[in-house]
Amino acid sequence: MRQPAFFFPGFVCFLCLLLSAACSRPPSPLAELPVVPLSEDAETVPFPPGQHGALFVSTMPGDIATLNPLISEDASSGAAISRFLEGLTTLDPETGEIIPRLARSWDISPDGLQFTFHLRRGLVWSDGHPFTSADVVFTWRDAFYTKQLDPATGQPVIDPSTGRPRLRFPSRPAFFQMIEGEEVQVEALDEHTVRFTLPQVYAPFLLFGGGQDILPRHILERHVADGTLLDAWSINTAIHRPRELVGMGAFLLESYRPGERVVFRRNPNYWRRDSEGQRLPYIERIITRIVGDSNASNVAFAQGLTDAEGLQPDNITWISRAAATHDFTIHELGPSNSTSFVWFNLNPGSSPEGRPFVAPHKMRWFSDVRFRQAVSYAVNRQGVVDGVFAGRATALHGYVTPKNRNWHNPDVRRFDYDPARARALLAEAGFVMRGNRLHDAQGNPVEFSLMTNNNNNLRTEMATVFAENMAALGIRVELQFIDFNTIIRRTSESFNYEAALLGLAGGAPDPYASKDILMSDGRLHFWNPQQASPATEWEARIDELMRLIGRELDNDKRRAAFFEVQEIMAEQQPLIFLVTPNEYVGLRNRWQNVQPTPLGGVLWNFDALWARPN
Amino acid sequence: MKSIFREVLRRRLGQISLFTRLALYLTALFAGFLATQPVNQQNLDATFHPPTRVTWHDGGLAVRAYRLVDRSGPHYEVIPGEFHRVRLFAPGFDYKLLGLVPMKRHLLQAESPEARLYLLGSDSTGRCVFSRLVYGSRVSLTIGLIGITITLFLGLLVGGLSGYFGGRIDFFAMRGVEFLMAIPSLYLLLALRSVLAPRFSSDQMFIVIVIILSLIGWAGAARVLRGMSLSLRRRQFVLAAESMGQSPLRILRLHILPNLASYLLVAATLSIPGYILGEAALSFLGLGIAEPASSWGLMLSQAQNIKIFMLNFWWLLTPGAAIFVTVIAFNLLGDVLRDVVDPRMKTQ
Repeated sequence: MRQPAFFFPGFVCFLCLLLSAACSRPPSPLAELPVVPLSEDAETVPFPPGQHGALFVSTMPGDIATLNPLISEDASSGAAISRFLEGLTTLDPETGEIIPRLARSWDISPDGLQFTFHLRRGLVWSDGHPFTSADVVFTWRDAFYTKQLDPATGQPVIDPSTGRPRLRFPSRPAFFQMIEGEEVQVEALDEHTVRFTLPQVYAPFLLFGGGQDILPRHILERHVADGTLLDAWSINTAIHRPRELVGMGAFLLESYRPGERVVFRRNPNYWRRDSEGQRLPYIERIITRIVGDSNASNVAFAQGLTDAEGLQPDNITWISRAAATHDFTIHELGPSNSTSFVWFNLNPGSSPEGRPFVAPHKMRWFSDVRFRQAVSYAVNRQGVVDGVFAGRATALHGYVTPKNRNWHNPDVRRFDYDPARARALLAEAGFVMRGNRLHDAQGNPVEFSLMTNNNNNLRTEMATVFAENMAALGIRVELQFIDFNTIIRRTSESFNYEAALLGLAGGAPDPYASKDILMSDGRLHFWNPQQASPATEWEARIDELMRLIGRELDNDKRRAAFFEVQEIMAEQQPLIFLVTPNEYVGLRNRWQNVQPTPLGGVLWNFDALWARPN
Repeated sequence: MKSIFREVLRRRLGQISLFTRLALYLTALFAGFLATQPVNQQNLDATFHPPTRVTWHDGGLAVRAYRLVDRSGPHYEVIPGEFHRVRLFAPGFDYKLLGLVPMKRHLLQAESPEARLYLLGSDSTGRCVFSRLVYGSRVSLTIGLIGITITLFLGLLVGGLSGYFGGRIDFFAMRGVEFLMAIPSLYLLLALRSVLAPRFSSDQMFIVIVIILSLIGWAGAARVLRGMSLSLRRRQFVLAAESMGQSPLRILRLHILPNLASYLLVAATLSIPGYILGEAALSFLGLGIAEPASSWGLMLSQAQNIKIFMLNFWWLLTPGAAIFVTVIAFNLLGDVLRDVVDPRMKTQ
């Protein structure tokens, strides 16, 4: 009888703890959000009406680092931010043209310098606060262009290296939204009209400037005032005060557990509706689990644990066996926009100790276009597609993958597998075979090292195929599988390498986004970055064409210029392109209104997807 | 020494383990002769090819012909009624027997170039798993020998001397040993690997890592040997030798070393599997042997892809079986040796 007496007070305490824990937890953040009726200007989507209330489960490959679009760098953070923030314009997922989003329409002045956007009327932020031109002006003028003031004089601080005022909140989007370092003038003509005045003609402004996510002034104003804008909307905000993350997107952050999951809930004040007048989105909640390993998340999908998943090409065969059991479909979207390529270090400089980055005799080979073309002819791309990717990839011949059909030049010079031609080109360039090894005219055996990242098995397999293809020419390739960050350090800082195999993902919707890669002074001009003046004639020509693409408004002329860029790249082979994997997305069959497009993928009309509530 | 060998051979387990080891080391020595294909020869039209069946057909050895049914699997089917002739001791690709004699003859070669002779299937770029396994045995088997030689040599030198002389030498030697034992070797390896990676090619790199590992790893052996020589030092025959005025070097060589030999033999045999497994673990982590060289650990690490389990490409796991057999053989031999050299500790 003594035991219960002992036990009882403890039990009461435990109950109290439970109660207090329950009381201190914030109430569901959206329970009390005021819902403002849909305005007349709301967009009606062209899909059959659906039903509200379903739950969508997905995974993402990495944890989010921030929810602040000014400092977000990684893909996971970017994906989470794009759920709740939107821009004035966007790309049409079918045609690739620019279509209205938060702006209803726009006018461009004849000289191409003034863009006037007419915003949709009666739209509200997720917390019910009206969305007006003041928010647009705030995003550009306050969040991006606020100057750093000298506390003593009250004057803007001038950066000695650029000669321009320093920004108070230096961020990537802020620099991105300057044109050749000059600010864009933004003014509100009335509550629903904004005018942007550009310092010079800038062709992709409608896409890059118009696509800029708009920030809520009524929430972030105080962070601009007290100088904490870059610290706002951090992971801490997401964990403790998700209500502060106000946006115009279809979803709102409901809760976040670091390393575990992110939960989004539908925005009750979203500005799109279906033909029956129901407010979108239909999905009630999105639960995104953070799964570090893409194999593990592919397995989770194959076991029916998630609703949608981007699938690796080499996993399709066994995943498709579970399609009937777990009732899903694998949508094949054709070539993806990720590329893979080999390049040689063409940087003529030397290290601080005076040692050239590349040995002079090797530099002689690498900078000979016939050598690069011979290498390109010797690469068995179709073999890589068939063997390494089990046929689920496409041989790549140019800078733009066929997915980006508006900008893809299908007629560039192709280097189909032809070892005999490769040998002929090498002989023409003065290389000779001695025994089974290739030697240059001076008698040096031809060999080089090739590095690639060690955590991608498809890439390491491509590298071994490349090495075997080179061995067939008598060239010895030493493979180095090292971690990604070391590769980036060696290709962009120490330049201490001979050749590398890497890839680019997320092909840009506008060619001008590639200027950092293609122009000779670009930071990402892989083979020889940040040149003071173009090292070769063809690089000078590419620079000229890229500048034209930047200031030409006529789309046909831009396309012609970019086609020429691709032709030069194919002719000169500074990047020896290999393959582009095909894109596969798995989606459970319960989802309705699914209309995959090559450009937009499967989930582009996410706000119109619906399923019967589970 | 001869009598130990005879004793080992008298026991069933000793015979099994000794002959297994002999077979393994002969495989490593004659890898070029046994391999059916060059170690890096790829065939992108025959990736993940299943093991080809060798049969008796029409009065000679032959392999079945296969057809690629579904590239995306990839999935192969036997073509009924079609065979390719294979020959023993037939000419094939060039190699050097024992690294010296240029040769062309191989144990098994297909006659026609279309025939696919994959005794243990092919891997993700269509390389012959059997040939890679055979060539890989060189790395996996020599690594233990190199490692154990360095470890025991250093252990004997430091342990034996400090145990014999004692006093200050002993004190400092043992503190040094403790210092070495305190180094977290995995982190050291990770650091060394990233620092040294650009300077060495992958096969050199591996030897460097094994040397580093054994340079850290001799501390344990040194401690045991020091204890043993400390106790031998007090034995009457050593005291007698000392009182007769023999030099310390002579005593060490004639009286102490022979008494340590039995322990050394057993310790060496029992710690070689540690190096073999260590190589496998390091290659699995991407720190060991790298492409295009071949080793069992590397082959296993390439088999850790999920699709290999899901699509049941079991032949890619054979390096695991090879490691298993080797390690068991070494451990059995170690046990037998211990029984032989130390009859008081009989296990059976």
